[in-house]
Amino acid sequence: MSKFDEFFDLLKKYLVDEAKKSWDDAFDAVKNFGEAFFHTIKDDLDKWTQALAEGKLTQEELDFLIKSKKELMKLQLLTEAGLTKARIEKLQNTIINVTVKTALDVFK
Amino acid sequence: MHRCANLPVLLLLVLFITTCSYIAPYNQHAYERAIDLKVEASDLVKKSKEDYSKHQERIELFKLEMQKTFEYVKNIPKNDDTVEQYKILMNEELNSMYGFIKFWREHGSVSDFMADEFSQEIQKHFDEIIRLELGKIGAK
Repeated sequence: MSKFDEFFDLLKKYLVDEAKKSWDDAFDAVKNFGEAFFHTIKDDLDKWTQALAEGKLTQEELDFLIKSKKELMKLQLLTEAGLTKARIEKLQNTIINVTVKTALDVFK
Repeated sequence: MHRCANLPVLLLLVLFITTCSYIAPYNQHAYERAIDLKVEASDLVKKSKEDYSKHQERIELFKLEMQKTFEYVKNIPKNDDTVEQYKILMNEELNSMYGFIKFWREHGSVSDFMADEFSQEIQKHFDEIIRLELGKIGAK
């Protein structure tokens, strides 16, 4: 196997491993986000509807609180979108580091 | 020889990929501003069980600080997601911070339960801005 073949094979292996790790992290983040969000909403809705029944909260206030969850979801989705971009940037940094390291290892 | 010919292409590709930027880098000032505003917003909401007019001056001051921070983050390149988050908080027609201030103004005051609950909810709203800022650590 030539030095270049060795370089390309090693580089491919490292990059595939890094890409898989980044994708797994992103997948876990989205999955956890969905589960946590619906769990939180359920608990809050229970508490708020009980407060309404007890006269501690008005209908208008309940309406505002429930709709505020929609804004929270939008904020969370924007966070996740931003974090995905940050992950891509970190992956880029990894690509350059892995490429340079692999080249130095193979060609030194 | 064939592989040698591919090397410049590969290096150019790596260079191209690594020079693309998708998001602003972490900004310590933006992070600290978000923390300060979160604390102030949460405390302000707790006061909403009292009459709006009693806190009008503090509300105006809070809005001024929000506006200053918004202008700061808006002028950071590639910071679109953070800017959109502030727009949600600052939109009177949405059910976040400015929407709550409008609700408070229109109703004079809110119930103790509402003030305490939304004080916690608004912290979660600001937490998303903070979480995103922290997530930028390590990006270029």
